[in-house]
Parts: sequence; structure tokens; C-alpha cells
Amino acid sequence: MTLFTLHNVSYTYLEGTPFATEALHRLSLSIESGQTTALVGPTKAGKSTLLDLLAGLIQPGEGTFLFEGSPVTDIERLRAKVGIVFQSPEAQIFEETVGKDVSFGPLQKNISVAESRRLVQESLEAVGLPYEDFRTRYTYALSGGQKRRVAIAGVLAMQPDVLLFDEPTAGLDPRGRRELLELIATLKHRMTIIYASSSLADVAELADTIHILDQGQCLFSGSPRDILARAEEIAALDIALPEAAQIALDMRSVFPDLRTDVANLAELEDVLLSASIPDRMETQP
Amino acid sequence: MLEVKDVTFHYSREERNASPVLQQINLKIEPGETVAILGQNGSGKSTLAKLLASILRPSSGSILVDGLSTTAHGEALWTIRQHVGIVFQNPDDQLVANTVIDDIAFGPENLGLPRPEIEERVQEALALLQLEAYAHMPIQDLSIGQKQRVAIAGVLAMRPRYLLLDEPTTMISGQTARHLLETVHRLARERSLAVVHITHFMHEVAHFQRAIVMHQGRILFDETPAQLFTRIEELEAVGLDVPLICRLGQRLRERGLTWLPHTLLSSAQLKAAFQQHLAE
Repeated sequence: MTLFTLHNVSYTYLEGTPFATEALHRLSLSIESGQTTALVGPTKAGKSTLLDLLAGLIQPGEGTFLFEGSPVTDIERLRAKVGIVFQSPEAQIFEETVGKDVSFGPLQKNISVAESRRLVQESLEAVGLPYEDFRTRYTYALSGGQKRRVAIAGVLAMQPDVLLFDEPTAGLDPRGRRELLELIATLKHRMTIIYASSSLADVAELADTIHILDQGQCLFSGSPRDILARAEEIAALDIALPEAAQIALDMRSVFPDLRTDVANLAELEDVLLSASIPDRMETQP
Repeated sequence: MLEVKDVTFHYSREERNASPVLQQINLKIEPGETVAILGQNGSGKSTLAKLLASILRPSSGSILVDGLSTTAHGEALWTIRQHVGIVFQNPDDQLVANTVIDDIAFGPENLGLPRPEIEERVQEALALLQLEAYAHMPIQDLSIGQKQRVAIAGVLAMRPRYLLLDEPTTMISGQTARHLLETVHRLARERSLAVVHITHFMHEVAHFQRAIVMHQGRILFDETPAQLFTRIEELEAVGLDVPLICRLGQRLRERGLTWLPHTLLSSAQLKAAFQQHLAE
């Protein structure tokens, strides 16, 4: 089912003032439910604005915006189904302890304390933080990676069907990044994920569909492999490539027809070996 | 020279019993040297940068900047802060003025320099970071990569001898990050500016003369990137990755391309190796 449909959507910040800036310009794309969709583009491509729109935080200035096939008349219904993890989500933590922070959302929903406790426990465990160990911990004393998990748990506790992430791995070290991507890969089996990033490195393995954005427009869309095949255009847009695809692209000055749609090291080895030993051309990935 | 002698650091007295953020750090950085500092979150990298910039003071041990101790007061401390410039992860944390040119002029103005000298320094910093076209733009209209360049230009206008970069590429995209690092390497060469670059990104390290790995507040390795990148398992054990290019070289040699060099640090080296082999 199509979850979101955007047709010629424009959005301008500070419209009608000298500071007006157009963030989305006649943007058209659709996002399927149950899938993991990546929105990839350089800074100022409109990714964060698009996420705010999908989360029901802003409304389109112009164009058609459909949620589950119909125009949004009840913004609360959309907000109840869509959760958002902002960029640097540790900044959205405000309570003293982990338990209090994660239960803040559920307790606003008029549910019993027991039910809220159950949601908090489930959500913390879903992000890999054992409930008994973490519920009384002070939020300020957590590591950067743990804070991010707590913020994600706080959003999960609201039981959204759709989870939006805005550059969730920025600033994490390689291990923290890998662990967070593994967490998102487990969440994708139970909900719709929409992931904004300025790099293809995080999403080439995670996403089902990738939309390439630039200057408020969607330039092209496709599967990770379709997108990696266009590595040259991607690099020209100042979008970082996964390391394997970047090396393949660099090696085109030696082998002009080298394939760039390599998902991992093994595939990169294969394309380089077949290029360097011409009689092994048939062993393509 | 920047000299770190037996430095230990705790953030607060209450933490005295817990393990310190930095333990027994010894380090010397020469003018013009380019050093990358790597380590997981919480390994003490940023704390070390703040100590070098005399924003923090060591709990024990000492740090000397061209012979002046960072625990100095008055005139000596001003001298140190002029000579050691620091660029933070988020440029919004250090941009203070409304326009690019005003922000870059802020430091030199506060040194009380004569007007022509301020103008000369600002023009030079604009040119070094290729910001001439943006000189009169409001800071708020810039992208993060542009802001990061303004932050560096503002620091360079102080004419520092040592430039500390605390994860400056975290918030900017691939190409922009590459240009930024090319610029600082050029400055290191052309004006013997020492550059200390803190990063999680292994692929940024190849062009530095020295790579230091920190782990749990201590220096684990301090060697050339080529030496460091042979330690695939040891780096994984402390949560760091070696660049894919290093593994690729190793794998291709195992799969029959025995003519490849033992250490590959960049695609450029891989290209050169292939070109040479094809020519033979």
C-alpha cells in the first residue's frame, strides 16, 4: 500500500518575508508502507523539511500531499501513526532518568501506569537496553550511543507504525554506527522506516528504495543497486558513496566500464579481478 | 612545539576515584606536522584537544606550547590562545557575528590590531578558504560545510601555529569534507602550520604524517598511517575500522594479484599499481 504520496509539493520557510527560502520545490514521490525508504541528498536538499512534512509538523505550501491515499484532514491521526527521531536525538531527551524520559509520551495518552510501564519496558528492550538495568539510570550519564537509543525508545513507546530517522548515525564512532544500523535493521521487520541521510553508506544495505534529492526536488529513485550503478552522478551531487562503490568509481580511470553497483568488499574484489584478468569476464557479481 | 608531559585529567573532584578521562599522556607535535587522532566516543580525544587549546587544565602533568605552560595566567595565556586555534565539531558553536566577514574579523579585532592589518588578515583567510564570494553573506544563509570553512577562516585570521580540528567533518558531506582536508594539508605545507585532526573516519587518515589512536584515556598507537593500517584486528578490538582499501589490497593479493603492494592507503595507490602492472 502507498503510505505517502507527494505531487508537486513546495514548501517555503518565512514565506512573504525577505528571508524566504524554498526548501521543497515541486517535489513528487511516493513511499510504500512496510518498506524501508531512504531519502538521500546533500545538505539543503530538503530532507529534514520533507521529514517534518511526513511527521505532520508542517503542512505543504502548495501541491498534493496524501497520507494512506487521502488528504490529511486529521493531523492528529497522522501524528499518532508516525514517530520521528530528530537529528542528534540525544537533544530530545529532557527527563532525569531513562524510565521517566521514555514514559513521558505514553503517560500523555491517558493509559494506565501498568500499561505505560509495559510499553517502556518493551521499547527499551527493543533498542537493546535492559529495562531493570536502565530504568533508574540518569540520562546525563549515558554514552552518546546509549542516549540515541533512549531517544528512539521514547518514540517507540508511542507505538508508531512509521518511524522517521534524520541522519541517525552522525557523530557516532564506527562501532556505535554499526550497532545503531543493526538496531534499525531489526526494527524494519515490524514497521515502516524512512531514513534521511547525506550519505549512501548507511542505506545501501538497509533500504528497499532510495530517493535521491537535491535542491528540494526528487532527481531519481530506485533500488540500492540501481542507485549505486549511477555512482558518478551521485558523487557529483556531493553525496558520499559507500567505500566499495567509491573505490570502484575511482578505478574507472583505469577501467572505464567498471561496474560501481558493488554492495560489499567481495563484490568489489570480483569486479576488479574480472577487469584485470580479461578472460575471467564471465564471473560478474 | 606542542609538548604534553605525563598529563592526567579528571573532569571533577567527585570522579577522582573513577578512572581519569586521560591517563599519562606524553606527546610532542612539531610545527608543520600533520597528526590525526582516532578513537571511539569517550576515548578522550576531545578532552585532549581542549587541554592543548588551554580551555581545560591538566589535573597533573604539564602542557607546553612553544615553551609556555597552558596553566599560565595573563599575557602568556593570551599568547598560547593566539598560537593554538581550535575548530569545534559544530560550527554554530563558534560563529559569533552576522556576516562572514565580520565573523572572521572578530578575532583580529579583539587582538586590538590596526585596521589595515585586520583587513589584510581577513582577506587572506577568505582567500585561503575560498570564501571571497560569500564575504558579505549572512552566516545563517550558509550550509554547514560553508559555516565550517568560516569557522576555520576565523581561526586562521588569528595566525595560529597549531590548528586543532575536533571532528570537523562529522556534519558535512563527502566532497566538502575532502576539500576541507585538502585545504588544511595545503596550509600545513605552505606555512608550516601544525594540524591536529580528530576523527572517527579512517579514510581521512591516509594523508596525515602521523596517526594516534586513543583508547580509554591512553595513547594506544602513535605511528604512520601505513603502519597503523596493518593492525586490522587490533583496531577492530577498540571499535575502529581500517579503510576498506586496506582489506581490498590484502584480499586481491590472496586471490592472485600478488604484484599489488603490501599496504594500500588510497584509491590513488591502487590505481597506480594497476596502471604500472598493465603497462608491463
